[in-house]
Amino acid sequence: MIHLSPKGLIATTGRKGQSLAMIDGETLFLAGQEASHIYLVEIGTLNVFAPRGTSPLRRYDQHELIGIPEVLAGIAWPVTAIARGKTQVRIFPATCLTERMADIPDSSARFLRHLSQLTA
Amino acid sequence: MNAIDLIGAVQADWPRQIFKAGARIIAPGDTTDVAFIIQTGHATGFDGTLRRRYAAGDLLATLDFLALNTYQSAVTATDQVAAFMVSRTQIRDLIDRQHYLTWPLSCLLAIDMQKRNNITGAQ
Repeated sequence: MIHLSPKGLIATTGRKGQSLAMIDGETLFLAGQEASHIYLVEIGTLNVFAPRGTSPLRRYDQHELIGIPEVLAGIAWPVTAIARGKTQVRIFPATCLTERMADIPDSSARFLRHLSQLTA
Repeated sequence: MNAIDLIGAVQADWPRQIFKAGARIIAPGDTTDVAFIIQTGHATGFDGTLRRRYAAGDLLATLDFLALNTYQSAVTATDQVAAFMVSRTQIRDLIDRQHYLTWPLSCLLAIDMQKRNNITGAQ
């Protein structure tokens, strides 16, 4: 996997974001909430659960990012994210992307939409 | 999704390779330093976990190319295929010309999609 460095996201969004320290079992967001932020895991792990799921669908570890498809689509979170152990995430508001995408060409927007549909 | 729309136009210096029907265009483990874009013909493979049928203009194994260091899935020609072989650097530069956010966002999205598809891309 080509890993994302925090520097890479900061360069892309032009924002440093805010750091959030979480304790084990703390909820970052709930399924159904508006996806208004993108999150970069800096330390620890986020487990992601289906709305009524009891075992994690997947986990996000250090340097992994969650939320770009939801933010670009302007939709609610389809999953709930909960910290596993001591975790630290960097939070970027959706506007740091959406404002910068105001002048993106149609062909680029179509390609990004296409990519965000390539999951089962 | 026609990749040529995204990157502008076919460049005169792109090398081209012909694959007979049934030939492997991409094998798991091949480096993603090179992208394949179909000029003519058809191929089948996967983007993440979704089975795809590729046609003229398509960028093969798009998610693997954008997110991983090596291709994880095979792409096979279903009839004779002529494919452009384009370096990662050249693709990135052409996409950057369209809009400076398109390349980094494409890579970020592809990484996230592969995560959701449980494809981690062992190196």
